[in-house]
Amino acid sequence: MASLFETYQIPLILALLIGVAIAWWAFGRRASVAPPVDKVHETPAVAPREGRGIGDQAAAAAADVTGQVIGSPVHCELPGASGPPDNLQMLKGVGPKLALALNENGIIRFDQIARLSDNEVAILESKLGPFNGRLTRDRVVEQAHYLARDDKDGFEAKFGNLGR
Amino acid sequence: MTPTVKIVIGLAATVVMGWVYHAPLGNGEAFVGGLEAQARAKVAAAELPGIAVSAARQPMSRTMILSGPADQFQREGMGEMPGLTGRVEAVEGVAAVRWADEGKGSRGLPLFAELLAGLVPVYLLGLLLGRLLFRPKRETYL
Repeated sequence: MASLFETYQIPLILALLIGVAIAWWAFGRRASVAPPVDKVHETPAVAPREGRGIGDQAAAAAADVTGQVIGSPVHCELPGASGPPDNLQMLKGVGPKLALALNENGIIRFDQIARLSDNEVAILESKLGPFNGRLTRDRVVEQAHYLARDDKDGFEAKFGNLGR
Repeated sequence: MTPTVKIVIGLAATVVMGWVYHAPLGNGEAFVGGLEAQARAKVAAAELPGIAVSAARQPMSRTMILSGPADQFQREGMGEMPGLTGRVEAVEGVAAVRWADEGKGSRGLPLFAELLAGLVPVYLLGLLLGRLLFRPKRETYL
């Protein structure tokens, strides 16, 4: 059996190398990221509507509880899209999976994210499963404010290179 | 292309590589030929005339086929005295020995099948190692 191994040690080594190479091909490379969009639609960031201060948060919380008691939605739905989708992966902290999760929740544009209030962010994050807390932690809303305004220089000054 | 397709492509490449090494490059034939020569030397050392040794081919395997006039004692030996079968079996690398006049018998596992039985686990081991080496790092951007 040892002689058999000696005879075929070259293909065995090659098979090992093929396996490693295939693993690199299949698992090692990051999924290709869509190139940044050429032009981000300029949409003015909308000032948050609720939940920016302690009083507002308390009011929003009270409204939430009241809404649940009377069985009525007291908040508007997450802001809807008003144009073609942006490349959400330009946002630091947003990878393909999180971008997909956002898309599945109807978030496809920077201005939608920029318009999210704290409460809406919390609601959205609660729907993001393993990514719960990521929008807050990575200041995604703040990033989206810059990108929604197409202020890439301001974005890069604050959050780093966009990889353009 | 999904990872599964890539893994299957790698498996196919491994099989083709093994086959090229085994058959077109002649390494399988050289290996079996070497076993055959050693087996013939063992038989010659027994000084029994008319005994032929050949390795099984089509499919090529590590089974040696003996033929020629030899009685049961000469074939199987007795006590500590090895017969021709035992002498040939003692050649390192020989998997089985049979006599041509003792029925059809098995030609043994094809050498290429044995090679595949080694290559496929090694390929999978390489995949595992590569998976550990190249697993996606925890993404900062996720």
